[in-house]
Amino acid sequence: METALEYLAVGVLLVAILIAANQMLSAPAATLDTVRQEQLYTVAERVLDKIVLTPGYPEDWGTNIAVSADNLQDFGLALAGSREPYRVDPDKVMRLANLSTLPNPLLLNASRLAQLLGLEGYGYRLRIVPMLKITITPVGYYTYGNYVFASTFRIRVENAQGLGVPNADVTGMYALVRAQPGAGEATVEAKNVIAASALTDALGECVLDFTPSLQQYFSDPRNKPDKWFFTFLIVRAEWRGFVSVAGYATNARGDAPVEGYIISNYVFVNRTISPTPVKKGNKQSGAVLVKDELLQAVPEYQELLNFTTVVWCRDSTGRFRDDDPLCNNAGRVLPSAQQWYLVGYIRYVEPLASHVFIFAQFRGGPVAIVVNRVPSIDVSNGRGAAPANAVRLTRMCTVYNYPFLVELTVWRWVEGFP
Amino acid sequence: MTARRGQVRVVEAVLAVFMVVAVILLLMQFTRPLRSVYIRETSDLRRLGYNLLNSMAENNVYEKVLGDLIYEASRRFSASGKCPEGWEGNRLDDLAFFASTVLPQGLLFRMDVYTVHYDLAGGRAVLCPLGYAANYGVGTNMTEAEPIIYTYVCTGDPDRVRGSALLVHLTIGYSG
Repeated sequence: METALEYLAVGVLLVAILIAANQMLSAPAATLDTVRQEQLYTVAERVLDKIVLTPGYPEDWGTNIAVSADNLQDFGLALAGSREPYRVDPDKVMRLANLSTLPNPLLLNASRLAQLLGLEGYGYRLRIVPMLKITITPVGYYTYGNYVFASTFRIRVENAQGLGVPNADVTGMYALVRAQPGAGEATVEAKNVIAASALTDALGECVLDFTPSLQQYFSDPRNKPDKWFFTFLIVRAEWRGFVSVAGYATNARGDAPVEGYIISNYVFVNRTISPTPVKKGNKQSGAVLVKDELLQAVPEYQELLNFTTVVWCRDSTGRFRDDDPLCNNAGRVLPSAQQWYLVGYIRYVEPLASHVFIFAQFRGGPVAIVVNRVPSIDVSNGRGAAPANAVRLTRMCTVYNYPFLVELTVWRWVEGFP
Repeated sequence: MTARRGQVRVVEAVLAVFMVVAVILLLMQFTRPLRSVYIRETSDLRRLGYNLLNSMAENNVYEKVLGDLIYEASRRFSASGKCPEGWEGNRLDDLAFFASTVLPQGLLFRMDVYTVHYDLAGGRAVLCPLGYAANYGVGTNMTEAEPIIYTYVCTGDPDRVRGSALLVHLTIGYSG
């Protein structure tokens, strides 16, 4: 009997020791778990600070076309020399933009970005989006001769989470540039601006109708259908002090590649576009830039819609010219761009210009190419991942004078598989 | 007799093991570090809060959203030398809507706004409440939260509020 009791007691002893050993092993594991979570937070915070508070190296890497993804030494989006925190350099943001219609010739891709940020072994998603996003949808058209102009637009203003913003003050500025086509070039005759305003409804939408104004404009005998018309729309939305702006090519056909990039003074557009030499008075022109935000708020200040000269880096035979130092420079550092893009440079770019509209032709018709200098960015090196554990941080930043949201999501690569 | 002594030893050993294990487990409870992830989260909340208030200031949101209230509070204080009564219960729905539109989803906040008046004779600052903006009601508790105090001098339109000083007390956190 006593022996049985002894065996029982020894058994209990063994079980107790095993339980204690198990507890001792699992307790540090639980501690490590919190440390691992904390470490992910630390990584995300550090990386986000690095992105929005440091300018990178070289500091002018956004505008310096000699700096490519391969020789960029340090990544950061802050505006170099700015004394305000969270002020982001739009030219650096432009290096991350990749339009669906046209790949960025100087793209900093997601894997190189991960390498520069020390995020190898992590998945991440970086979004840089305007605090107010404007979506322009044409819902009505006006036909004049061979031209079809989008004339009525549904404007949707939404926040970064996609919720419509009611009661936003929307101002649309419809610009029409009339030119006389000539042999190999066109001459600008007149520039007109039509403005319309509305408040967004409970769903964050409103309609801007320019049809009556366009009818009136084209009833003028000077605006004959054999002229060229370069037209574009600039929409500005303001809500409680937060401002956003968007551009739209209003007489472009659905398949026209009417987007492009501007990096430093260089513009890159689709090679199927034909450059159009345009003269205004005795000066070579070629583009219009939105000089100041004031123009968007008060369209009557249309003098701020400035003409500027574009020099195209192709000669009359369509070959890349190397007799111009700036073209030569672009051709030397971007040899593939010569072949795949229509490259040009703008003589003067206003630092605060949000959009540049370039005069061009697509399949024989005049069209304005919209170059947005404040694009939205969504970069990810693990698209489609459903991470078990992720950290998301946001910061409110300023690009030019427009409020933007920078959002970084980080997860461990091993935890990120769907 | 010897067997009985042996059993006593076994019982002693069992008791000793239980005591040692109990003490170790107790000590382990004390030595486990704090949930450091919460500390990190709230430190980020503080930065996000300042970031929000600063961004609102840079874009003149306070003037645009609270301009009429600021003017009325200042006018009444100048006339009577006293703060308007009962304004601490004002719901600033426009400001609440603004903040909930801008902040990431899932965060709770309460923003109390005061105008700051200077009583030069008394040598003190007087805070007059304008009201509060919040996206949660009574009965909701925050488990991790950060308080942020921010002062601002109105510089934008409308012109009549230029120079008014504001104190904003923001509490931002996660619900439990």
